[in-house]
Amino acid sequence: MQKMTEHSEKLVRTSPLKGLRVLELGLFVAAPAATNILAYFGAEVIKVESIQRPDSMRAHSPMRGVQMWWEASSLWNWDNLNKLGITLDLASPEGRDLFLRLIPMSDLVVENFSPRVMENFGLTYEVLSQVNPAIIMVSMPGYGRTGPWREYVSFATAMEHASGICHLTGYPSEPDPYNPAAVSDAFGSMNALVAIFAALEHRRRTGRGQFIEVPLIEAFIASTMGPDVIDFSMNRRMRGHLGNRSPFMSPHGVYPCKGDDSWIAIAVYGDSEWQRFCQALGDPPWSQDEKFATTLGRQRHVDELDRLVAEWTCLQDAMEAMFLLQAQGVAAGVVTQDVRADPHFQARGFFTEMDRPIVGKRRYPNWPIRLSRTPGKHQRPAPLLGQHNREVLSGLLGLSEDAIANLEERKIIGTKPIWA
Amino acid sequence: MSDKTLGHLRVIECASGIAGPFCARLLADLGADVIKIERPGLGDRARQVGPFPQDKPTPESSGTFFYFNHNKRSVTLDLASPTGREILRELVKKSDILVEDLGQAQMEAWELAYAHLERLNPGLVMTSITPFGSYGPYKDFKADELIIQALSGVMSGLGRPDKEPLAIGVPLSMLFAGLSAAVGSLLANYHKQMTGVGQLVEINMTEAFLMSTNLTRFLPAEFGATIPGRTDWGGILGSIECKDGYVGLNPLTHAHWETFAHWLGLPELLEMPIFTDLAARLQHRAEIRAMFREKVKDREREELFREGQTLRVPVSPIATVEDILGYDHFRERDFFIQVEHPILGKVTQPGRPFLMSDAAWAVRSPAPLLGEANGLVYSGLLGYSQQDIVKLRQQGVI
Repeated sequence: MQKMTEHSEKLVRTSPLKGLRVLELGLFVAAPAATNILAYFGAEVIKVESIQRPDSMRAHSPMRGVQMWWEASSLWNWDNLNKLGITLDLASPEGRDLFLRLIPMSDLVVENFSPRVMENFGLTYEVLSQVNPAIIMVSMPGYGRTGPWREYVSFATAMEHASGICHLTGYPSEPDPYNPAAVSDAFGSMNALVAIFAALEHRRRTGRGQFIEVPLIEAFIASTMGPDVIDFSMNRRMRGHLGNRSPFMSPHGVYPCKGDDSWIAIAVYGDSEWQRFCQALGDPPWSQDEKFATTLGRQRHVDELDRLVAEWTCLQDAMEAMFLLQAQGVAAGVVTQDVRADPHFQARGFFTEMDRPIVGKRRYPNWPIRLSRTPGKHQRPAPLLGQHNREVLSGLLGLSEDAIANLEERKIIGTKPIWA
Repeated sequence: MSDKTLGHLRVIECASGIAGPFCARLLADLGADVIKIERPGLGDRARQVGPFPQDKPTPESSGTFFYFNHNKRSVTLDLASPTGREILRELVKKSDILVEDLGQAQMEAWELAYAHLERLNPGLVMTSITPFGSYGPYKDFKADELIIQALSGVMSGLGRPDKEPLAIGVPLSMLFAGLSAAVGSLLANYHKQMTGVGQLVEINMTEAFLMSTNLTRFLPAEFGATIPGRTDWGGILGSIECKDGYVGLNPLTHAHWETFAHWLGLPELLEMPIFTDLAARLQHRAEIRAMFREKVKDREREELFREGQTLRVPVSPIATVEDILGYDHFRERDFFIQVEHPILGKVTQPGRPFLMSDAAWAVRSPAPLLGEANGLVYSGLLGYSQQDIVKLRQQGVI
């Protein structure tokens, strides 16, 4: 067993990213979620907003009845956990200059503006790397920094729409494509983190930073549409949507259970599983019909089969049916309505309660990456607007109280939106 | 531009299907040496999963296996045999990262759990991927993408309120688990580079899938809102049929709605009570959809996309696979690439998920033939003689 120094022992117990400093110029999800994960694992993340244009996510479904409503958006509170928050008007020479003064003491800059914005601020990679050749800059535009769609507006589900995934989701009886959940931001954030760690590794060995572009539409297509693009390339065809059905398994679907809006998903793989499934149901006469004995037969009579299965499930409590079927080695799962009340998520300690001014105590999920020696954790609630102006401008940049007061007067920094 | 950013890392992959192989491939794409362990004869079970050219299945022509296994070396090794497991231990001693999805119980029984392997290689990063995690009431459940989507809490929000909840037609839980596992592996590797000490990284598909949706359904409820029922996720308008397909309308802010209404010639909408706020719009979405549908049904999709975007309206095409392969935007950006495979020939697939100015993402070799690197790895890396290799093959160990 390798001997560790006292120094190593101490490090082993601390967060893996301690010592890393990140500047985030993000809005909505893609960049903020990525830096949230870095902060969860110990990086110091300074989120840079402005009182002229606070993060647009602050306007997303804020809690009702709160005067400072820009602090009360649940999604904003979640996406920006663990960060310090400052404001800087980057359109002003002083604001820009202060940002540049943070660059030599930072490792990463992450932003997801549309491509013009950083260019207009004069804060391109060319400029930042002149100030600090080791800086790693990550841009996360929706459609990419080049190409005919470069200037196009992209929000929320636009990436899913343009990716091809909608045509693979939908009810079998209906031709309409269906919008899946808004997942492209998260895929973008995780792809960005792969690139970021690769760049950190590269910098560790060479001392050099670099520029990374993570176009959300491409990261999403590359992550999710591979086999379907390949099918088209090989066979010039597209598979369309099957709803909850499968070309290889029957029964395979979502069936109603006892109670209001209660459902169970069941997936029976192969004929011996089918027999166990029948046993779990008490071998009802219909299940013994020869026509259901093989996968092919069950596929052929899938409408009838689904109806018969539903006749059984609608008499069952969903949780009980799930445990019954799983005990027989059949894949089954309740359609969970609220994960906060689910016994598995609870047992796994999936939530952390954080207390924050204005919104109070709320439960937030932990990131699904668990490290055994240096577990991540939510370190602090999301910052109030400009909450850490002094801590950063005075503490890191050495500005005097007078200088800071002057910046506030001139609205280059502040703690309330300019229109509030 | 420097080559092989992660080229100094060696990864052993003992995984099948999508999540584990995708994780390892992401590391291989940036230069890591990934040795994929496959069962003799059968290999990764994804080899039996299509799409196949002309639907003719052969073990070397699976489109799914092709996509998730380029840049890797394949060796065959039977982990059910004690000799096989000894060989794996030798490989682990010479590696930085192990990615596996064999399950905690199996790894314990085989004495290949992290507690065993860290004694052999204290710097090892071991990444374990499971459907439900290593503890909790569902931990030993049988999994399927449908089941994971159901248990994750996401599915209850998808589909029409008058029908059953709907799965997403792509295995997102496995894909996001694989992607998260790559991040976790590199995170733990970053720590190991500083301290010399590795650790266990655990990812499960159920939590991963939930987190990929950014919790837009559950978090507002934590702050006092009611959890919305199924209302065609993706916004109030979603996809609307036009003359030659579907267009996606994504108004998010009030300003977006105003621009939409003006663009499509519906200024009167702005005055109507059903339109005043989010709650009203949600309640009357069917009516609002019908009004918008009337305006777009005779217009062509790409024209609507171009025109709307010129006015800075967030409109997007509901594209098909054929569409995305035809768009100038991706062609000008060289996004799709062709990869040559000994059996499949030239195949078009998505290319790089990101661009790095000083690192090379590349597909350097296609998905490997089963066990094609046995000689290189067992002889070249572990120093076995030709006789050793023949004997191991005869015993069915490789």
